[in-house]
Amino acid sequence: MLDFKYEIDQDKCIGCEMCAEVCPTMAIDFDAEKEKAYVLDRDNCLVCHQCLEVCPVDAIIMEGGLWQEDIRTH
Amino acid sequence: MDIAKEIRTIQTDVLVIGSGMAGLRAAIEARRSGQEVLLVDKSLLGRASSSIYAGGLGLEILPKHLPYHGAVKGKKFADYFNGTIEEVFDKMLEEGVSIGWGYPYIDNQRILMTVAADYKLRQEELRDFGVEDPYSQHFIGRPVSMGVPIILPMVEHFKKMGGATMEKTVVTDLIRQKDRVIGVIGFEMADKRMVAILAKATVMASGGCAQVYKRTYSPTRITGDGYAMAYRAGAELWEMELVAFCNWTIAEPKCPQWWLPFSYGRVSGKLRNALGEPFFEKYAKENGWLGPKATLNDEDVMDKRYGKPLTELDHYFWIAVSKEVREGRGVDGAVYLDLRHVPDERWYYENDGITGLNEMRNFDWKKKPLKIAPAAEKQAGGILTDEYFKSSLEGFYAAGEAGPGVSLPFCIVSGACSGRYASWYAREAPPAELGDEDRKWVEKRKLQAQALLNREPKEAGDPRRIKQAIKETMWTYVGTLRTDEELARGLEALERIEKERLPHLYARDVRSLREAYEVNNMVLVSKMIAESARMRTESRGLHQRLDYPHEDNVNWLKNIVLEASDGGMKLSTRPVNLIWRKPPESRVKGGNI
Repeated sequence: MLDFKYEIDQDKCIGCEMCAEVCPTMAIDFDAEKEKAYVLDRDNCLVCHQCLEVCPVDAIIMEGGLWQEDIRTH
Repeated sequence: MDIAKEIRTIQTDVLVIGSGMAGLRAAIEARRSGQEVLLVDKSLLGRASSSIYAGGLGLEILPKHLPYHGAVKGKKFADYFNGTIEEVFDKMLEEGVSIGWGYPYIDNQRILMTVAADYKLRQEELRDFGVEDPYSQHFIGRPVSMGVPIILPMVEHFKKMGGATMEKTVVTDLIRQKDRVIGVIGFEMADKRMVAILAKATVMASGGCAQVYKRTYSPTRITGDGYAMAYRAGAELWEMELVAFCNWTIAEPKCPQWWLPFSYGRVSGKLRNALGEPFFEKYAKENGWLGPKATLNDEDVMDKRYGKPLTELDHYFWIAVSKEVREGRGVDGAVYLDLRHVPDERWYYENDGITGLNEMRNFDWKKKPLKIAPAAEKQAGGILTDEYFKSSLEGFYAAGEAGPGVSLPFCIVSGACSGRYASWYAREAPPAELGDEDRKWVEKRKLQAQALLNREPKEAGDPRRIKQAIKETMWTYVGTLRTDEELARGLEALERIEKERLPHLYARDVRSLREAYEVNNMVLVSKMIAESARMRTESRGLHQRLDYPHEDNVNWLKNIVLEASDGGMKLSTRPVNLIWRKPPESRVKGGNI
């Protein structure tokens, strides 16, 4: 049903867990063995942008999300 | 995984648990009063709170040029607090439910008066904490997380004041010495280590427990930890049956359960059942919910259509929708909200999430109606406190949703008050020190945590599966409309979870250890809600019983108070302290109205 791209770049992810911590709906989870965050359930994403805001290495790929640019410039 | 052998000990004057609006405000106030303050959160500071998603203050900030501004009565939240303090107090007492309190006449009137008197000041004061003009455009473009520009500056402000913080530290229990709380024990996720935080005074601001319901839009971490910890330590809780539900929550498959923001677009919608028929009018007529000037014209916005302010109507909508679904005229537990006739400009110039959510999901609200159903929003009950936000235990205070009320105005007012009085207590109190018994107990809790980590993983003990079972049970049996029979079955199901599944509960790593603690707390809090709901044999505001459909002001001007006892959960009633206002005669006559 989603028509926007929402992924976590596994090469860039440094395993800091921050995105999984802030996700309010468990759309993102953290794999403790691999030490990487991953998108568990894209359908649960609220597009709240908190993961984008906290990721220190820009590993979160969200394309086609409204307001995304607005928020980055604020 | 092994927990570090050594237990870390930290000393502070005032400890604040939870970094949402209430916790931050309490921490800032206590620091202002010159005490050492430590702010602890089980996740990232401020980021995992429900305040960061809350729309309450968001309503403040909508710029005046927007088309609907002024079109919807009661829209601007600050307007609610216009008038003399006494006028505001009367309004809150009568309409309590609309801003999230329990319901008319069963609240602590002194606390109500405190909020009526302080809110405007507390809101203006946010500027001093670095929150940019709360009325500015800055907030536009945040369809969902409207609290970000309020909460994050407050975190920074607190740090600048010299406040200490700990993130990803899961507080698991309060440490009690005689009648006093002397701090907490917890688990530091980063160092895999137990920590004992000794504090002269402790403020609990851990938020509510809406996550115990399957349908909710509260963030993942809102699992009632504060209620459970207070209960285990022997503090009193009250009014746990009063759970607020929000009707305007998306129930589409493959969509998150999110609420449609309070907007001109939403209030222009038309509610329809599975057969495409309007149904709200029927319930409104039966129950006398319509105002004298109701037009009943679908083209009018809802306050005109039904002749009542939206703040009041909002409460009737979830009752009507729940009844319609229960009568079998729902679609997958939901009803339709038809927005097809709403012109674009009512949506696109507004700061609201629905357009973003729907566009991204290729869901066109202009082509087909949207499924919506009530979802748990917040818990109006909580830790029982007096008007100084002190609980029944010495040195233990509660603010925000964890405390005796709910809603953002309550959070900033109770946060400021609890922070002040906790720091006054800390000034005079003797230092907190662990005794031999306490040390043994902390060591025991450490072994229990290690046991969760050592336990063999079996499906029955998976924390996430148990959470799902609790959520299903609560939604089915302890949901929006309640009966004695269903509540009894809900309690049985919760007992089964407790007896058959909790003994298998396991944790694989630090993150699932946190979830395991949450599961234990959720079971306990769910039982509190179900037991209290069973006891209150009347319908009042947020608590709706199908077997007792009327407000009963002869027998039920009472608060249900709950505490731990040797024989399990002990419930009792206390008459409401009607110090300043009593319900009008018309509401009391004949017992039922």
